[in-house]
Amino acid sequence: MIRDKTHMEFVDRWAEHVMSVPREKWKAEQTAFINSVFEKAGHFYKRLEKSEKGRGILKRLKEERTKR
Amino acid sequence: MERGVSDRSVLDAFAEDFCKVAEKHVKYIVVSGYVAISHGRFRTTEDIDMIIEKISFDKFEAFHNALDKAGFHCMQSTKAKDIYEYLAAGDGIRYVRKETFLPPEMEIKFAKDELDEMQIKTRKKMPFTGLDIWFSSIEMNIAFKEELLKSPKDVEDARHLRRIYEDEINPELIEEIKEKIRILRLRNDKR
Repeated sequence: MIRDKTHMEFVDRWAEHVMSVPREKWKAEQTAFINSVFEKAGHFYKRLEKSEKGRGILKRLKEERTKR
Repeated sequence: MERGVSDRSVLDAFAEDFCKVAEKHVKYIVVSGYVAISHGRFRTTEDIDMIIEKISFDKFEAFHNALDKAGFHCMQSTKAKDIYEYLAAGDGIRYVRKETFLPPEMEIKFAKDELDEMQIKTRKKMPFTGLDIWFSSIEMNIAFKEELLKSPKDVEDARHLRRIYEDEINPELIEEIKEKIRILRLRNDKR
């Protein structure tokens, strides 16, 4: 299953970029993106810790992740 | 030039730290999404998939204890015996860094059939990634993603790998693996 033409075009363009520059360059770009996603999620969970409701959500999330 | 620690993403650091422990205890492979990501695919993931050879409880306990010492804990249980039962039943077990219960996580499964054993037997380190990790081969990953997994994300991962290894992949081998997938997996269940 493919999403649409533009997604696949981006995959191709990005692969082209990865092949045409040194690893240090694409790695730095990719690392910035990946780390920002985890950082953003980390901030969100830290905010949840600050309220009782948030702590309840975190508790449920932890239980669900343990059960999976 | 030697690669520095600072250019590793959260995922790379997690994967390499985990695999460094695994390497000493078990034959393993990293498969699926992280293979594409480590080859530059512009996306992230919450979990990294690892397949390990079937090992005895004693061997697993030593592996689990080493992971614990290295700062990883299992989400399902702290007891090696309980965790081993999940593995033996064909279920995945998940490890995260000790200070959290959040991703990234390593999901580990025992090799379940001759396809997985073949994946482990033909495992490779990929110089393109700059990572010290054993991966299942590119042909295996493409075949699984195109023939079995098939989500948009998987199809895009396969496309990325095909582009990166355009001149090196073996199309006949991919077709052979797909045929094995059809026989061993699609007539039974999903990976």
